[in-house]
Amino acid sequence: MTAPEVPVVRVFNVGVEEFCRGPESVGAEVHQIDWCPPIDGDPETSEVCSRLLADTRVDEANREATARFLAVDPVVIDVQNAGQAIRGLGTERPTLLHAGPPIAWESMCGPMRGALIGAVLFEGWASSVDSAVELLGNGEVLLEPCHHHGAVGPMSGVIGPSMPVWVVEDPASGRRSYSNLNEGLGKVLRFGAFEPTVLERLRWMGSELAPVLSAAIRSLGGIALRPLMAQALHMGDEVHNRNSAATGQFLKRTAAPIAQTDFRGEAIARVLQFVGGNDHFFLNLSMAACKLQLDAASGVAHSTIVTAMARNGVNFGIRVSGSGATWFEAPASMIDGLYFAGFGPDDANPDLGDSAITETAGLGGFAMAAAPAIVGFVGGTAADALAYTVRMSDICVTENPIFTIPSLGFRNTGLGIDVRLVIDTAILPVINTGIAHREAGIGQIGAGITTAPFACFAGAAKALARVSRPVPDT
Amino acid sequence: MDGPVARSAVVTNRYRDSVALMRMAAAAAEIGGVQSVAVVMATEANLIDAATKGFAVDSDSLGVTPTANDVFIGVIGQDRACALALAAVSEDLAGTRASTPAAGTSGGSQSEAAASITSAFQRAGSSAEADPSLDAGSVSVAVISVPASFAASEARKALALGMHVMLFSDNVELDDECDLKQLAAQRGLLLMGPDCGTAMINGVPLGFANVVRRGSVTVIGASGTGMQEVMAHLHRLGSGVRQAIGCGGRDLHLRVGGSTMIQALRLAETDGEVEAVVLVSKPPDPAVLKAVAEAARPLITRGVPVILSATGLHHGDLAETGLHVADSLEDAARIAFGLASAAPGVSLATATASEPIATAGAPAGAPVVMTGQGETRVVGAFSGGTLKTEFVHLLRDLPANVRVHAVDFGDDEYTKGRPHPMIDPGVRDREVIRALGDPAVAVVHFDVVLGFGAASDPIGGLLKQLVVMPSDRSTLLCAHVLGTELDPQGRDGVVRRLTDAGVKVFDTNAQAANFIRSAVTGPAREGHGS
Repeated sequence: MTAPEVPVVRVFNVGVEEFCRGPESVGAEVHQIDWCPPIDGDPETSEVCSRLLADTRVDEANREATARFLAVDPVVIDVQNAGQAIRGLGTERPTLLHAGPPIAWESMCGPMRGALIGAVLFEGWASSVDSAVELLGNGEVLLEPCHHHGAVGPMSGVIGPSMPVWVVEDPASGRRSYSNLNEGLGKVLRFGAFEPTVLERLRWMGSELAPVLSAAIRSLGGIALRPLMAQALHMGDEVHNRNSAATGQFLKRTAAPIAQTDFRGEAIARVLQFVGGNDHFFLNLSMAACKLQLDAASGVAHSTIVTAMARNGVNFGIRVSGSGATWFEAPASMIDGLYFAGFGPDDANPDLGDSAITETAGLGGFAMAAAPAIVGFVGGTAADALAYTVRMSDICVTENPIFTIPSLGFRNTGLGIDVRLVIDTAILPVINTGIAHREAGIGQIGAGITTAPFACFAGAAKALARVSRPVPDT
Repeated sequence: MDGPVARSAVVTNRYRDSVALMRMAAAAAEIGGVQSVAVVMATEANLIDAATKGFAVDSDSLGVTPTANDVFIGVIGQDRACALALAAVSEDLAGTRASTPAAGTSGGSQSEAAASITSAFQRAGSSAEADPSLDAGSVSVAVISVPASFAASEARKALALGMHVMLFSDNVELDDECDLKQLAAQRGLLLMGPDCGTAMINGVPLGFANVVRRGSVTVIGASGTGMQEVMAHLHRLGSGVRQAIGCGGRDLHLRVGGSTMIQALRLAETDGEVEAVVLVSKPPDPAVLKAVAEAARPLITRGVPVILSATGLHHGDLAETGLHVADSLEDAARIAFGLASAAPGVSLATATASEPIATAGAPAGAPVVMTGQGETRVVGAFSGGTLKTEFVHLLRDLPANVRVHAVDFGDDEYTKGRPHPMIDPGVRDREVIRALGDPAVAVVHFDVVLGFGAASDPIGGLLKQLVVMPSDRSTLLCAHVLGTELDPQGRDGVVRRLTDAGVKVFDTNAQAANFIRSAVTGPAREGHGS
């Protein structure tokens, strides 16, 4: 009775499970979808998402955006003064950069305010905390996101013109990105501390650390960052919240050139000790490398690829390739994690910093399988770490051929977070991050895992769908 | 003894479709000491509704402020029974994983069900289907039964992946239907629905579907139960179904323009195995009928007869089209059977001469149930809309004192907040019992639809109530059992149980209607003069 070459019928059942029974009874291939409404429960979110999924221009644009990302070869070429390196941070008007989407002084969280006070004092624009606060409150200091200047900074991400920054360049295009230098843990500017020891350290970083690193890196002709990051992924880092291996690799490559600089032995020893003593030293380089590639991927019309995820401690913002510089924001989440002794969730500031640029580029939480130790922050197992990475690839349009994960059979990490897939799968990008104390200057009080808020993606999809309509008839 | 109390609970971040939730509620309501149970998504509207029914919905009782992505469980009854019911429903809800924001952040295993059709399709190792034909090496069909406000979006995603779509969900906006059908037509795909109850693609039953033989007759229809009736009767005649393609109830409206029916005819045109095509619909818009007839022409030219069953349609409308017109769904199946198995060129008259419809349903010596000159009623309790329409049509122009009162309990106004009567026939059963107790009612008729999707025992509840009815009732009780012996419920057993309970059972809706006509008008008034 059955024809010899009956085509295979594959049934994808979205909804009432009973409807699987009929197809199953005749041996059809049946897939039950575990459907749920979009996270915000809004039918319009589903609708715009489905329109974007059905729009072939979006697929093409996303291929273009990820190709542009991969075409970039981030190389750290120098350490320079921010005022000299970063356009718009010059002398015309006192300007400071901060993490996350734009935010006014009055609305800022404690750690960011503290960091800005410290920066005003460090720049010498005020001589007391009170006058620094007055200056910032008057709007006499222009406050702008790092992201608007090709830069990224962890936690409060505050960068002033006198601070040294990494200069990362794509040799082929000459495109550049910047990040500040990591100060280490404890009382540091990025967590809002501004006491004299903090400012002294910053001064030393400018006067000794920066010139030594600059000379060493220039003598090497720059250091390509992707191979170093790829290697670190094989050594237990995910290059966001765990940078031990990457920092070691960086030190290994720069130690001899540092020793060969014209600086005195004591200075060289201090530099080596400082870099070697800070497991997070590489973080800022990782961030700048990610930023450079993602900036190249931005501005592709119709593309739904996320090009930035950043937090200012109050709001979480994302940027999407097809909508250029626009931020789509939602209140920043709290972080689920472990606290240092004496601290707890009540002390925590909401999610803060530009460092989620690593997740945006498919590292950090997306590469958690490379760094199972991280998942311990939320009581997870090594298997959970693998699952996070596998799950995150479900919201990426492609894979990064450069980065592989040994524990997943050298599977490639995901690349290109697609707004459509985040909405469609209800899988939120996972972010590994430190927890800042909500008051200025106390510092890091823990670390853990959080997610990007859904509303950012729903907002971006709606904006993109408005631009994309109408789909031309064929 | 303690008085009844209201207890409730919320299961956060859990989605289940309303059918599944209502099944859980019905099961929990069976627990002794439980008066009523509500299991609903905790939308504002649902909570307000629950509050009016006496369920405890305030945040204090619930311990949380529920959101639309949570499930609300409310129970009223004896305290201990409430606890049992709450536990039972919670356990049901825990049965399988639902994708939630929390699950999105918590790792999880790699083998969990895909949360979206797009990822399921990718996981199945598929890239977008290149060939939309039903004879291609593999055919992908999405069956979509999510709430109306999300259904069009899911369908659009499926079409974008190159899948045919069976859109079971109803209440989809007409604009969305037009938009989706345009997209489907561009890609050569079928958008079956919305509100498509049944389909069979390459022998695979979808939705509410009877198990029928694979054969050479393709059935294309804008009515689910109408198609089921044709398919089941084709099977009964020894024929079978090549494809069954549902179009959705509005497909033949002017705005939609018969988009799916035309697309289905195009697919049939390229199918060398098709020997006859049956179209089932309500009387279509004349302009749409013309377009459909135009699309059927290549098949007719090829010698494949196309039979139209559209209750109440004037034959004159179709004079030039080359379509055969059937008087009933049963008739459509018989004509298709006759022509499909006959050599090309055999005329309609020869092919269908074997069993004229006027006698098929009215065996000799039918009882005359009507007495006196007062008003007498024939009550029909239906779960299939087209069956009801046909029933009323076949019982038109009865004597003035006979009134036909037929209700389709599958209609939107009866299915709000409760399952379709094919899933839970309780509402139909109540009408049958009510009518049996009404002295003005001479005949009570109901349909029983079998097959996948339908209730596993669609008559058990009714039979239980019939047993306790007074045995001296004089009302004629008739049933039409739509299904085949291959259906999960097994038609033969259902028929036997009904017959044993004194119910007169018919193979088709038309046979039942014609029998009832004879019964209320007397054996002398034969035929229905169409």
